[in-house]
Amino acid sequence: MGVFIWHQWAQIVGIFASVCTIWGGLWGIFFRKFFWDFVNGTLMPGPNHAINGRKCFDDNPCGIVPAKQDAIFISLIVKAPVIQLFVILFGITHLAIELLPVIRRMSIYRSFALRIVTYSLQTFLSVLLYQGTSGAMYSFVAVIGFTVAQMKGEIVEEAKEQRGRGDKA
Amino acid sequence: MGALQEWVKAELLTPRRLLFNVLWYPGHVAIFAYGWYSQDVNPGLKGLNTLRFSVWVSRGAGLVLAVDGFLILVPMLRNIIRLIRPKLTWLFPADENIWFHRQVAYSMAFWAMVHTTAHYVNFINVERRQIRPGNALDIHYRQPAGITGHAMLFIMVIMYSTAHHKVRQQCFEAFWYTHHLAFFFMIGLYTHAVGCFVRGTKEPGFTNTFPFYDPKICIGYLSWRALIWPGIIYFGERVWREIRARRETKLSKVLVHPSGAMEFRIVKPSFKYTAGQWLFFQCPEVSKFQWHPFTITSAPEDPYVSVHIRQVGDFTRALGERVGATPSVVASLTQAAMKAAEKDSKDAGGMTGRGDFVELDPAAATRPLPMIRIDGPYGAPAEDVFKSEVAVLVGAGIGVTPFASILKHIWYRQKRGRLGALRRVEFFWICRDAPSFGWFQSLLQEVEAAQMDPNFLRINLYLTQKLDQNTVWSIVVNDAGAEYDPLTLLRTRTMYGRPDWKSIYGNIRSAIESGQYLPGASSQLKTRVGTYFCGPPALAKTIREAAIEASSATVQFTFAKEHF
Repeated sequence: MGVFIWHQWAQIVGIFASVCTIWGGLWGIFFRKFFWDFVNGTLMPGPNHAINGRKCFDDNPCGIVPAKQDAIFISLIVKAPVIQLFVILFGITHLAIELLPVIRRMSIYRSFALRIVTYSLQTFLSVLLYQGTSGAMYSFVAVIGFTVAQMKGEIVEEAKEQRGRGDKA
Repeated sequence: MGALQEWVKAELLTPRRLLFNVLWYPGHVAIFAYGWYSQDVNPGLKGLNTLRFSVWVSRGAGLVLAVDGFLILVPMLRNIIRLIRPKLTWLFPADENIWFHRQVAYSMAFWAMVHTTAHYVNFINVERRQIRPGNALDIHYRQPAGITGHAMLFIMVIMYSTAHHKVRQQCFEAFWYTHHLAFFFMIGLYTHAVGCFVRGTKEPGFTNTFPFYDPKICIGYLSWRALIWPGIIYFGERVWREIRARRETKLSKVLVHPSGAMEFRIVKPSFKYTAGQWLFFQCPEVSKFQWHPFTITSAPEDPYVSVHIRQVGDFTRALGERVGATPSVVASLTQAAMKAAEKDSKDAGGMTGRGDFVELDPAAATRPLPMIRIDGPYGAPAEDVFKSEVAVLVGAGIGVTPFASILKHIWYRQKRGRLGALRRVEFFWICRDAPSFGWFQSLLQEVEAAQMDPNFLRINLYLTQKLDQNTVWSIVVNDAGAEYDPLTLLRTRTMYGRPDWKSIYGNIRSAIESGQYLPGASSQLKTRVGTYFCGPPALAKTIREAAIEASSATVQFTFAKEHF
């Protein structure tokens, strides 16, 4: 039956995943939250409680207070939106690779190995963000798609040059 | 600028599309606004309303998604549409159901994005302010709304990505099978609100009886009560299609035409159809679950249902292999036919044909003919043809196939003298390369030869492909003085290049007005000239414009495009 071209499908999923990731990253700048903070973190039962020297008020909400060992993630996500910016950068780069006509003629457009690596990185960074889990999941689906494509030895066709067929009937 | 102008022309300057756009997008925004408003003013939801904009947006988008979730299945109720559509042709000029299905899907993708984004903000704020106990993660991944929501989004990613035209055209099966995830999507949609997120109280109000929540406490839209009906009807339709497909069906003959097309003649007494419709075809031995659409090429008067299948895709090739019409058989057949044609034309120089079709003999084959099933019919019946005095039938490219059935049907009715208002038929066939439709040519030959009234049916063939010099000279040499056209072997001469529709319609009009075209037609009455077109949309537009422009006080031109 019809041959399913894995990389063709993975590219579509990848575009979608990258859009989700960029969108999640943008919102992650405004609502900063480390997704895994529930691990070893403590949930403030409500306003006017204090844990680890932090106090929550109505005008200073806090929700889950993350564990001390997660400090590195807190500084990279909550204190400064570093991972958010990286995630957005990855998303934009992926969209450029998949969609820009200029890149279609370059060898990076034809490389699955590169995509497996970059989409994996996008998955890993994105899953750290509260808003990034969906994007991470779809990116991972794209990684699976590209991996199968690589294992099956699929080849990206070189972009056809736009040439008229001239006198050929 | 060109792209913008084209967009304006397609979306805003086409009246019917403009009407759709004006109703569709503002309609969605209005539903969104109502959902927003009803959440904002509901005194029972005071607690949720402290979340302000994010909850208003999520509820508004949720209502839009409920409406779209209802609409998405409606265009897929094929059997019901087939019954209703003839009564509503003014509203749906053609089988635009897939197009509408796609519009709903795009809309769902957009509003799902809005709804989900708003909920991400909702849940983080619920966690931070503890307006309800628990953290955001629980709402996302432990409560029914979150679980079904994320599952539906994931299903959407899979369904949308395999429905992309690139994947769908490359591997239809991937699209077809993954689209059945819609079943789980719909289950998710119906149960999305059972977690009782929309409530005024701190704790949800669950009960032990169906629907397992207390509608006094869980005051969502309760939209599943409406949403579930298209789902139930669709499910019923699929069951009904399965039952109908299992009714007695017999593949009586397989004919192989010299051009390589296989003609399947099927006998199924319970199958009733009209000319111009299509069916779904299944051969369980080739593929157990796949149904492929084919145009019906027999007339309802024929004692069998026939489809012409060319071996162009993987399914059709496998089918050809199964019935014994392997490429080598077809090739030898074609060669034999061409040799015969050459010999005959040398000997007799007259009507030769392209060699006859060959019936595959099931007794000679090692295996009997396979079991097949057909489901249908679907699509618009072409009975309207008999309501106009002059029917202009235009088939372009592969769009010519439904006219096989229609022309045969007209011929049968002509024999019985039951043509209705129909007095003349102008048939146009516009084709890039005619030889690939060899079977259609032989059918035209039969129809042409059977004409008693030379004025009733006029066949106009246009060959649009570029010809190389050798072919041109060959045509010039063979055409002069011969009774039959060298390319198509019809009495009708092939014309080369594209038809000039304005002058064609102009000629028809002036011929009718001068009274030559329809002798005896009284000039007081308005003559109706109906155009029935099947082919690419761009050509449809050109023809429609030419037809409508040609209308005058005494001659009315109408145009109908059919997606057979």
